[in-house]
Amino acid sequence: MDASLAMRTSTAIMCIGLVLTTAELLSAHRIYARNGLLARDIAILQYPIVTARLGGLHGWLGTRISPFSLLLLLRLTAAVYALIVVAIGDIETLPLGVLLITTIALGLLMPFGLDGGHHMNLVLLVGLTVAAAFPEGSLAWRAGLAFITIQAVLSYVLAGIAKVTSETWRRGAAPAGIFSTDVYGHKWVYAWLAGRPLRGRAVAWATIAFECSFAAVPFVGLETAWPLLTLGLGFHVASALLMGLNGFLFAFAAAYPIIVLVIA
Amino acid sequence: VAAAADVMLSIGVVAFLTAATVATVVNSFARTRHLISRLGSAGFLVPAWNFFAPNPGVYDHFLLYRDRWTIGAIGRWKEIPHLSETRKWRAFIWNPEKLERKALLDFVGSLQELATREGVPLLAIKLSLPYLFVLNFVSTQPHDSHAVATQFLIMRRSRGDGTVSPLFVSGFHSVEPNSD
Repeated sequence: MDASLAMRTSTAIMCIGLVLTTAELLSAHRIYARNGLLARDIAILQYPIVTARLGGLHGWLGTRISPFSLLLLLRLTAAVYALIVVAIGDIETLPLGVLLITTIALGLLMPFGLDGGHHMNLVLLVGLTVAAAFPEGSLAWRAGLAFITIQAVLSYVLAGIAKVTSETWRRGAAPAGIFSTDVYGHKWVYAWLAGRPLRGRAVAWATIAFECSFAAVPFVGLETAWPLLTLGLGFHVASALLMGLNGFLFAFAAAYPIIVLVIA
Repeated sequence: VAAAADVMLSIGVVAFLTAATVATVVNSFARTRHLISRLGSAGFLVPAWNFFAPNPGVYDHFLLYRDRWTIGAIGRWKEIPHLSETRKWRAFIWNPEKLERKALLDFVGSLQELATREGVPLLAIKLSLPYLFVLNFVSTQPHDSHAVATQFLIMRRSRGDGTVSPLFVSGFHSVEPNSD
């Protein structure tokens, strides 16, 4: 795959996800209000200096828009701009840098409630910003893309290792337990798994086997890795459909063009 | 000089990305995660790739609160219902509700970890961010006009074995009376 095409495809998929998740954060803004579960007045207690500065900024703005909403609007604008840039066949460091800084700020100000999709976006933004900032083929360019690939592979392999060390996963109780919950569950899947330990064990060990086998992806060549990569994408589509993990789908799918580029 | 600066910059980038990868591995295992928590808030930026393991979330959580009145009597527990609603069908593409639910899960995990860790004083739990977030949220819920203090309770339910049990109970904290 052409390096520029891989980077643009990755950026486009990531930015679609960032537009979606930032819009979700903006639409859920009431939870950051004074009476919300993630009240920003409490969040910024971690940073007394920032608290003072944000208070000043809020006063200067003299509007009802909070600095936190401004941060989200900046991220949304940068994601849309980056999408337009890649659509016309280019890639720019500036919008990627703005997305990186706003995503770091978001993670520092509001660390609770974010998921693995947020961290994969951080990985992508670090790697793509580095790759966009340095000439193609340079050491730093290669390092940026290798960083995304290694982190993506680790995200599956470490999750597989964590599961294989868990007694709940090994005896197959985890899938039914997870699918029984309101947050990540699904009533049809739970009904299919509940009270059927063999099915639970099969799903648990299939998940472990898939995640651990991702360790082979960087070493077996693209032709052999295709089935695993296809399975990986299917895994994220299923996670979005059955578990509501919509942010994971775009963040992890965005890593795939870079994986293909690096291992090809 | 410019070429030397480029080489130094590239080496710096490679060193940073390598350190970030090592930190990710350290943060993904329960035994070594405490090393990353020493980084303070910067630790929030380090990924932990151990999804749903080793202890998968198999419980639903419910947040309740009750008030103590001026006469000293204590009211009934009230649930904050929207935190435990079933996921909507369009969540596969549009799921803003997940933020609040995931936050509650994160708070439960942090409070449980603090409460069971040896040598953590009660004051440290009460001053922890998760405790303050939940207390602030509960304090701004409707309270009746005689309320002088409020207390929260996190309950958990296992659909698998049908059990419902209390997980974390706070102390009473002063509230300004308002009306339901």
